[in-house]
Amino acid sequence: MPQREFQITISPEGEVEVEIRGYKGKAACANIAALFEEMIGEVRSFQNTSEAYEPEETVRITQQH
Amino acid sequence: MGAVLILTPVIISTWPALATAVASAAASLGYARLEGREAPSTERSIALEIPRSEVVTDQLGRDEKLSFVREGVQVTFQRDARGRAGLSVRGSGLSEEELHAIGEAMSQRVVRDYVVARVKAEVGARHYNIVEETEDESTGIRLTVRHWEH
Repeated sequence: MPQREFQITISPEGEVEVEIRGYKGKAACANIAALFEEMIGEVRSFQNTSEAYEPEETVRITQQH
Repeated sequence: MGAVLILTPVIISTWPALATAVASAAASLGYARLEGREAPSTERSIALEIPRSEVVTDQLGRDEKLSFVREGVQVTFQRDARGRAGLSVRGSGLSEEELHAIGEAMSQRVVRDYVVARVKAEVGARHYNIVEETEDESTGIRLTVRHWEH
């Protein structure tokens, strides 16, 4: 069960920075960014970090003999 | 990490939700609610708009206003005719620039407190956990939110 973390900083001027951690793959990061856009407002900048370039997580099923 | 995004808040709120943020902001800046009392004598006043704000209301909520006072300065919040949240600042013996600075500080604090309340409500509704909250006058409020995806 992967842990996800968001570090949300609201500056005294009201600007908001969100660091999204624990999401692998660009699509996953974009989805969660859209959630914050809906929650807070207009996205002024969006930057993927190294984790976003890792392969999307997949469920691994091991067969027992 | 997965991504870093920077957002500019957009306030689309009902009057009661905005009023909660206004009251919180005013109290944190040392203002007292002015209710049914005589306004302080004033010489100047300025008006400001809270940027990117819209107060969604019905006919009954249109004339709602909230006033606060601190050291002879009166700040009044109100929904304007276009539905935006605005504030006016009055105070005797202060220049327009000083009144404007007071209004800006109040407006920014309202936006900050509104965003904090909204984020807390949204993450709570999703059953995410706020594991840390810190506040610093220079850097603002920092929330650390965690959840585990099934």
